[in-house]
Amino acid sequence: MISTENLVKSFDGKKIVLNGISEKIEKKEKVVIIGPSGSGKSTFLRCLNLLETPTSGKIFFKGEEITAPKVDINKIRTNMGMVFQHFNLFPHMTILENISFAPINLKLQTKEEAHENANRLLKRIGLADKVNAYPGMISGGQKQRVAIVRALAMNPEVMLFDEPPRALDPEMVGEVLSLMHELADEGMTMVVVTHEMGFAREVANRVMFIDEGKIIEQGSPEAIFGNPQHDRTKDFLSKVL
Amino acid sequence: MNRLNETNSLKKKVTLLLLCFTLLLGSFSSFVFAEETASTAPEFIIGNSREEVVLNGEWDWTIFESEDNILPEIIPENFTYDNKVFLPSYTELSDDIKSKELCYVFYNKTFSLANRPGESVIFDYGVSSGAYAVYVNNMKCDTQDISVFLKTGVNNVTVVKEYRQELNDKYHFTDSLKLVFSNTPVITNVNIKTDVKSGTVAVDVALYNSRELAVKTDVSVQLTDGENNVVGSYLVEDVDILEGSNTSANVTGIAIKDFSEKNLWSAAKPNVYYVVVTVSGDSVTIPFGFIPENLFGSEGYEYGMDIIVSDFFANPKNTGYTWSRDWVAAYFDYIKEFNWNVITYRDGYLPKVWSEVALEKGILLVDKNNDEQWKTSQEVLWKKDSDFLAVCKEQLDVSKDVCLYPVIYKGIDGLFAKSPSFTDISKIRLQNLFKTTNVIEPGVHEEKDEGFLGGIISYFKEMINKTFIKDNRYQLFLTGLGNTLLVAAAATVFGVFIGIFVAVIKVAHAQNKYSKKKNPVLSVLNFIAEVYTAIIRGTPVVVQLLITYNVIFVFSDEAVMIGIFAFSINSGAYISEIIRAGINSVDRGQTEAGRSLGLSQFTTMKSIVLPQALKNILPALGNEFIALLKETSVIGYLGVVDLTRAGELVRSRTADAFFTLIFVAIIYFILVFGLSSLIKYFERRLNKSDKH
Repeated sequence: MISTENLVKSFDGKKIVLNGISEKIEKKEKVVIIGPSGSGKSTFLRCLNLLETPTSGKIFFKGEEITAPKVDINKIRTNMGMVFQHFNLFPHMTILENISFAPINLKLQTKEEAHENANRLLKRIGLADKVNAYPGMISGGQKQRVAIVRALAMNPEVMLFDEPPRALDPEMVGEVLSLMHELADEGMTMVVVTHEMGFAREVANRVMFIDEGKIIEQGSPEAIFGNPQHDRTKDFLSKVL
Repeated sequence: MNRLNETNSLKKKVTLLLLCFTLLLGSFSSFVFAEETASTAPEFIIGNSREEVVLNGEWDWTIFESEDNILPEIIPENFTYDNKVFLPSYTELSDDIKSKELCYVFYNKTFSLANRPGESVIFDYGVSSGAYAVYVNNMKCDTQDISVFLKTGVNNVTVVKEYRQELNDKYHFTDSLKLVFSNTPVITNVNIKTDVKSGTVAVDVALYNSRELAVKTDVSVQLTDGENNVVGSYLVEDVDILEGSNTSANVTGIAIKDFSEKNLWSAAKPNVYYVVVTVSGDSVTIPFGFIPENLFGSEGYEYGMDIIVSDFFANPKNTGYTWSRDWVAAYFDYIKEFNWNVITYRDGYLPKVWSEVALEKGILLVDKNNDEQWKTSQEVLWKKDSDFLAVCKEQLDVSKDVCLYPVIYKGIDGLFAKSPSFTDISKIRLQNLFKTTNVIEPGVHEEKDEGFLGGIISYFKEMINKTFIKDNRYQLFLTGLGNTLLVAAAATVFGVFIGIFVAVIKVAHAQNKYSKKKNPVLSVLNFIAEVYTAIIRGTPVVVQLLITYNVIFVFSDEAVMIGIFAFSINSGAYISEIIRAGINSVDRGQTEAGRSLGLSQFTTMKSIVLPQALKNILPALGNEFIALLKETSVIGYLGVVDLTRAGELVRSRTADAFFTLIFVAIIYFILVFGLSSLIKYFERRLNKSDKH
């Protein structure tokens, strides 16, 4: 579904963060990206929906080159959901509005449809009673799950997760990961950057280890966690596991 | 200025009069044997003599309108003088006249000459703005042989004043009217300047020679005191006056014998001096007095009397002196000599000694602020039971029975005559008399101890009156405050519109910096925005204001609008920075989340970022408004009456910088402090909503 061709990203012409990544992500794949801090994994993820503009290289989504100049990136993005480390809920809108704003504004759903959808999604995560609350009133774990649900409300074809549980207190991490697990089981194509190795092991069908802007090693979770080949992979895993 | 105009119009009138009399003399000589003399003027002057006729009392007047509005050569027979006016006096012309653009008012009087008893002269004077004519015995005058002056007691120049639009459509008659027929040099004007510090007098004498031959004359200037003692003199010898011309003789620095500033006034010897100017063929006596320095030192006072009386009474402590009973008694006696026996005052403060002595002497003291005694200035006060007749203030309707003797002069409305007849000298004497209040009783000081607090309270009372109450000056401050608020508020509002526009452009452009899609329109707009901000922030606001007023809107006079425009443009630049900062202060993640959902840049800005930015922007906007409140104080450069300018205007009238300007500063402070506190309050409330 998504593929990149020699993706290079550098900041201010000096620091090269992505050093030529060519990769494919197929439908229904759950790709988990791991790696040390500063390795470029988040940057890679953010390139996929063009939140970061690649310095060079191409990105394709469903066969269409989204790095081409005349592309309607907004339309592309409606098919990709993104979940951020710091949730990024809109504090001046209620939970309901957070979830339903984009579908209504982009005329993908009517107001009634969007509200119904939102309520359904909230019910799914057990937060139906928070429908008119403001983000400031709910806990971090709840916020992140609402964020996930907000992205889901757009019916994306792929979900991108940028270290979702990173900013949460340990007791809330579980509920977020559970939701992500559910999504995975439902067949959602997911690209997840995370440090949660447990999640990676359970949910991923491919684990990608990125370091210094390049994919060092990738494979099934068993392969990567059980039998890392490269020294850097081993080095990294020894620190986090 | 008045003197100049009067000299010029005098010249015109004199020339006309001279022409008039030449013609008359010519025609008279041809009719010398005719019995019928109605249409010829008598020979007024015999030899080198001078004839004076005082033209006070009742005059007839009428309105004349002709199709071409030219004055007739002969008084038309159908002239009926259906109005009367009493001179000297104030009078207001009827609405008929006021409504016309141009018409002439003809005044008519018949008089006789001293050296020709039984013979009467009909004198008509037709006057409009810019034109006049003198008629003697129904014929328009233009003779050169005889100088005819209409002399008044005030400054010895013409005239029955021309009709001119004054503030309240007043038609002035001056103090008294004298018709002077003379063919010798005539004194047309005497200008007196006093220097109270040195006790000297400078005298300018203007002379006119109407004859066809040049003459030479000595000019003698003598200063006498109230008792006819000569206290100073000077003689200018051999002054040449060419035929039909004016000239002047100037004498400076005539010292007054035994002059002492401190003793300017005493019960025994009031401060009135006289200048007696004598030339061959004419002599003039003019009273004057010394004005103490720094008395009221401001141009705001047009009329001497009002200040004198009210300030006199308002704060005797302020004059630095007090009154003794003897002095007050002498003062009242002196007033009564001229048949004045009513004094008006304001403020309600009246030294006790005044009211006691007034009672003894039969002087009526009228408190202008007391509604019982005194109705509005538009009405007539009738006092049936007291010693004096009506006091008509300003609005006079001669046809009504109510006021018979219009007697108020603008400027000495504290004093009213008992009867209509009063000499011309009295008023001027009194005018000069009351120009000084530097009163001291030699050797006697009754210090009334008001105390420190009392002194301060009196000062404040006086300042409050001068600054706010007098002439409704508080309205000036209200207008100023209103304009300040208006301009600041309007500039803020328009500035916000401009600021949002500019800020959004700049932010959008910055956001797109790294994207592949370069929007050329946005780049151009951004460039314009950068230039605009740089220019506005790089030049002083006053310069921008002046450029807007004098260059951009040079064709317009709407100072307030232009001021609002300039300040809007100015604050637009600063507000755009405020908004930009506000926008940038919103977490980047918000934009990222919005864009990730597929929302357009515009929608993300409008619905996600800007609402959150508002929390930071609003307090800063409030501060911008407050800053504008103070910045707009320069709008006085354009003539707009804002709070600062109002303060300046009042200051120039009260001559008290301290009170006025401190007051203005306090108002600004209250505004700023009040609004700042309000903003802080709202800021706290806004932030509270964040803490969920």
